[in-house]
Amino acid sequence: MKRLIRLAAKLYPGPWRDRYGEEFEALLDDAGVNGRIAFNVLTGAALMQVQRWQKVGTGALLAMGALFAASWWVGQRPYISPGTHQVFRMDTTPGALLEFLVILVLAIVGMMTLARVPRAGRVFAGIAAGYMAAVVLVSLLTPRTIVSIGDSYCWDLWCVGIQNVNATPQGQNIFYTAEVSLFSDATTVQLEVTDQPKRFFYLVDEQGRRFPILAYASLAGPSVTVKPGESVKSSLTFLAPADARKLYLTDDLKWPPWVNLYFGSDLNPFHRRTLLRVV
Amino acid sequence: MSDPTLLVLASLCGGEKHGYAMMEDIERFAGMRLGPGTLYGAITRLEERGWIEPVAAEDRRQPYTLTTSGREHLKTQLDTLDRVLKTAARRLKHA
Repeated sequence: MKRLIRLAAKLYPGPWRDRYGEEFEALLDDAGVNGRIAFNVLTGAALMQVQRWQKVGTGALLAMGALFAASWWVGQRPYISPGTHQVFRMDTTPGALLEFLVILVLAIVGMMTLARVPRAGRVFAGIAAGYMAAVVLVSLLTPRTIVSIGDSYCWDLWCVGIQNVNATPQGQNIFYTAEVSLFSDATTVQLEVTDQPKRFFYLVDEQGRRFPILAYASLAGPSVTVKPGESVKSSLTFLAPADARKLYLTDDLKWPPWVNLYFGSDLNPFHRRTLLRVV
Repeated sequence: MSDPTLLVLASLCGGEKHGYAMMEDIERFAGMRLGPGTLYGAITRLEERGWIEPVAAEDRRQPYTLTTSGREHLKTQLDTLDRVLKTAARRLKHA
């Protein structure tokens, strides 16, 4: 019975035991041993655990609520680029460096604490969870960037800018032809442009409806090599209903999954994707 | 009157005591023996609210004492209880 009471006393929350554990043990020594005391200690531990998790749960719910409210507030205030032929970039370089540093730290900590596996596991999980939480937090609290006509945006090495757009009404729809310039953000690497833009670009309107590119034509031919500093003029044609008041160009390029983990990555599911204003 | 926090406050009103001394005292004046889990649940709540505080201990037994706000809270509770008891007694007499 005494062992059962000691076991029940260990079921109290850790912080509580740190504060009251020793004096509680002294009381148990004085109070004696019987079934009623064992049951009382057990129910006391259960109640204390419920109260503790109620506090933690309430705190977590409040924090989540505040975060989603802040994220909603940020979501209502997109950053619209000035439209002065500036080039904007999905700036993953600092994110990639940070990710490399985190992996390096994890590897070093892992090797140094290999003998103490449980502790190493906790350190690993702690760093990884902290990094993931920071990436998600940054994504949720970063406003969407809308790139105006005349400006350009770079996903990795690929940069696209919409120069101008012509609209031709056709019944209840409108044909749009956008003149775009494709260029490389690389300093040494050359890019091969074929018909990729037609495959990974699409339009989205303010209601989230998607419209595929109907035709892609490059003024430089079906396949062209883009050297650093060069740009290729092309045109994209698409059809959208007349009630689509705002149209944006975006892409669904498939990237390696670890790119999602970069700070500021457009590809993170919690990040508001950058859009190029078409209409 | 079976609220453990009120019983602990009433016990500490007579001077500082550690857990086991409170159990014995409460059994003497209220006729009920609080289990260790119940007693320390009450002590935890009372300390969180600032109504009791620990004092210097000589061994593992930790004595507690009433704070000024704890004394005021106890007085308010007793005044309420007093009104309830007097009302109930008066109504019982005329029932």
